Amino acid sequence: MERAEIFEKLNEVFRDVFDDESITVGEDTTAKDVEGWDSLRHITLLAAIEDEFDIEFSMGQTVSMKNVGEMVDFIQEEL
Amino acid sequence: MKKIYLRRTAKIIAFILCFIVVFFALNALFSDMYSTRVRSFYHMEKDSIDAIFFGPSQSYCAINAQKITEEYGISSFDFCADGQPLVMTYYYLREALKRQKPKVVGVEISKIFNTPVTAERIVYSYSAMPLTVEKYNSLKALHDGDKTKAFEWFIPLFANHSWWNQINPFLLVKDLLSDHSAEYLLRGFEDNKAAEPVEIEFLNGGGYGEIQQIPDYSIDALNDISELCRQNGIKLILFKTPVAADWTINDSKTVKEYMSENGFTFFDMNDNLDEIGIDPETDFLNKLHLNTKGANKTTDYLVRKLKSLNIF
Amino acid sequence: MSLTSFYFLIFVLCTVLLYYAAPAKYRWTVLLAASVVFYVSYSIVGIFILSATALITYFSALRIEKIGDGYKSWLAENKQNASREERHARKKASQSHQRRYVAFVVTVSVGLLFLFKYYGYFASGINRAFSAHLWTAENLLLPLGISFYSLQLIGYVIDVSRGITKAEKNPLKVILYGSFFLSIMQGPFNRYNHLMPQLCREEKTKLSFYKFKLAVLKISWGYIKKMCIADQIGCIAREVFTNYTNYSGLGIALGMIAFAVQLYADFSGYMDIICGIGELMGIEMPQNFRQPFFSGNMSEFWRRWHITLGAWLKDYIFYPILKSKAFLKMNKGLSKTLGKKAGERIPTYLGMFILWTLIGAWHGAGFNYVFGVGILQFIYIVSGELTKPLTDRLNKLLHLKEGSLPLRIIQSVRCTLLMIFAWVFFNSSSFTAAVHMLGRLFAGKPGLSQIQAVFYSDSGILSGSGKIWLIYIVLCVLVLLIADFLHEKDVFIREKIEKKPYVARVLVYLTIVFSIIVFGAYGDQVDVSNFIYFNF
Repeated sequence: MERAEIFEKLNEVFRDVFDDESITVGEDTTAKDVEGWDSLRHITLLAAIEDEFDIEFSMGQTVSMKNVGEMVDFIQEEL
Repeated sequence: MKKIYLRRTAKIIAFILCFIVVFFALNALFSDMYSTRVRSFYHMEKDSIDAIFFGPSQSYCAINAQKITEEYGISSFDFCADGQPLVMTYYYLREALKRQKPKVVGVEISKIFNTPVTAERIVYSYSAMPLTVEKYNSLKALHDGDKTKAFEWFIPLFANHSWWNQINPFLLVKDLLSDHSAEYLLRGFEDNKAAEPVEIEFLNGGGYGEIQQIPDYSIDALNDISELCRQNGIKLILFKTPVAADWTINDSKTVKEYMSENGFTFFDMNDNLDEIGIDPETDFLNKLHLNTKGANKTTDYLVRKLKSLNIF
Repeated sequence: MSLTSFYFLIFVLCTVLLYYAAPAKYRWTVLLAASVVFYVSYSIVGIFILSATALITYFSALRIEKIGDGYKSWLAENKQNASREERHARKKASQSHQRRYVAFVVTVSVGLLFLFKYYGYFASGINRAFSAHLWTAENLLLPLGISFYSLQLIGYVIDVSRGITKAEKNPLKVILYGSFFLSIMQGPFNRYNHLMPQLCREEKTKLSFYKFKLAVLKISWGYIKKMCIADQIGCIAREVFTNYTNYSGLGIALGMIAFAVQLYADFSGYMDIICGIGELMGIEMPQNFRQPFFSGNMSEFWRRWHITLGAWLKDYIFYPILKSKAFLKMNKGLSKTLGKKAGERIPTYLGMFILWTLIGAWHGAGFNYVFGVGILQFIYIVSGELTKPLTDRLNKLLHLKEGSLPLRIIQSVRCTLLMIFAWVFFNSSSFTAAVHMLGRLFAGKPGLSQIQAVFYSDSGILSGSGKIWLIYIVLCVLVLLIADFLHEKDVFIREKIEKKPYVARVLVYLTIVFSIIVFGAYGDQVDVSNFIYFNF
């Protein structure tokens, strides 16, 4: 899957999880940039992304991803 | 480059100097003002004392050194300390011999069976002593050889720093400026006029108590004291003041046996209460100490006894 | 050797000198030797237990990496041919194989931890309840720092299984990681790939005079907090907590406040000493405190207090729990029935409940720990979240703007009071004792006499006037507050001191040194306590 397509899908997931239609994520988006994305919601968010792409993040990936760009890298690996 | 090192060294030295100055000032502030006995001793003229008495508070309440000096013409001093165990007596004696050349040393042995040395007593007994090797060694001995504790007690600032919540610099200045000559006249004796009637068990047929062994540390200390006196040509006598509250008949027997077996001169004044003229109603400050009335009687007896033994 | 003893200072001096004398390649061996010496000064048997645990971890980590490498090389060869299902199956098999080794290390570490720290408590309880005669492990001494090194080693092996850090080839370095003397007694919790590169770096580093002064300032600040504040004020706390039946009302409150001050000064002071010593060797230890009493809510408090413990638990317990199949299923199921918010919140809260119970239990064997720094904190955080809409409305009513100073002050006072209350459980001998003590808050008639009672107690804890003690407590709190306030504003205090003219600096140094000498709680005339987290 192309990166652009992944980002499009991610936007949908983010908007759904955080209840905010205005969210748009990019390569450098981090938890600080999205309201409500704290350590507690991180898992919920990843679970939703895993569902959307039918993949599974490893724990290593879960704790080490620094921004959405890295997240997309991991998604591409898993697909 | 060199300039930087020089400047830096100068700065460090200046800091160390400031530190030393503040340290000594604080050290003086935290010194104990109340151990008058020790302070008086260091005020006596060098080589002017012929008889020094050691021992715990029983001793400095019972032996009137001023009386012996003024009435009997034998220059004396009560270089005693609260709860003074024999090991402390040894080091006090060493310290004393640096300034005085006594011919007679009298040691009161109430504490021969135990060494109840509390922090309070150490403060009283050592704070006013100058920083000498004897002071350090004696503190080490009192703390079972613990060098850290000995060092801590050695320096008044470290020993008494916890008085920060009580210290009053004005009192210190007042004390420094006031006149202590009345205190020096007493020569270590404590003048107590008050009286409290006590019961003397010996007179009622009681007071036998358990049989105790003389602890090794006391035996070692006695030997050290005796050797030190022998080296300096001093006549050593050991005695027990006529205070029966911390003494039993069995204690007396044990000590008398030990002393005679080992060639010490010892007498227990509790054997001669009538001769001394001790009156339980009027002669005691409390059950452990005589007051001045009792002390004067005891002192007279002591001088008579020492003369009869050819010591005085 | 105790951190406040003379021997420790000599030990640090020798270690630092040897560290810089040794060639860069061998500096880590100096640290290993120092750590062993430090540990052995407390227990000889313990170092063997620690080494055994570390070696088991070392071997397991190597195996785990090998398994992972096996999968990676298979993947590299077969990426094109293998189907997605096959790749997933292989990955799952490799992961589950690795997990067996992780489980092994966790079992050994936690098993030992349980045996030494908790078994006796449960065995005694069972004996009492059922008149049994189980062995209560009374003679077993708690190995130094087992609560810290066990978790730290588990973290390492999990990190290897997650591919976050490479397995260490040298067993001695794993032992160093477990026993490092700067974090063995009270933390902070390290991460392998943050600490070890620093300890084992190959480049030669030097210590400038400036850095040396900064480090010494940090160390002395730690000693002031420990000796002048924690140990002194600790006397009051200890007296009130031990003999709370003698006190009431304001006296109890005084004891509670005194304990909070003591705990903070003690723990953060220790951290300062440790970090300062690290700085002397160019090693950066993780931060454990970030002005915790300025927190806006309890969640934030626990991100500012004992930071490394929270981080460790989040990464190695909380996330794995939340990400477990069971929890994800619960999330899905509840989302369907109760809606998205409930579906997300309920598993999260359940996970948090488990997490906080574990945090409480980690602090000690006893319900007072599990409750005070565990379940109660969970209640604080959850009720804080659930009542946020209400408090927001209240703030609007009172014209308190979000982020404004008055609101922040109210919030931090609230957090402080909640923690002072919670810490009563932490410091009491039992849960019931804590409840009784708190009950005594309302006993007696409020008045100054209740405070005076503490200072004229028969146990004679305090010489000197009570007034002076109260002034001293206020002074200590002010000093801590000002330091924290400056840090909150990102003021690098030590740097500012070093920039001042020479005379001002000398005054600061002399004040520091003589504060420790005069106000420090040492010597026969003071009752000195051990660090509170020492029995960990």
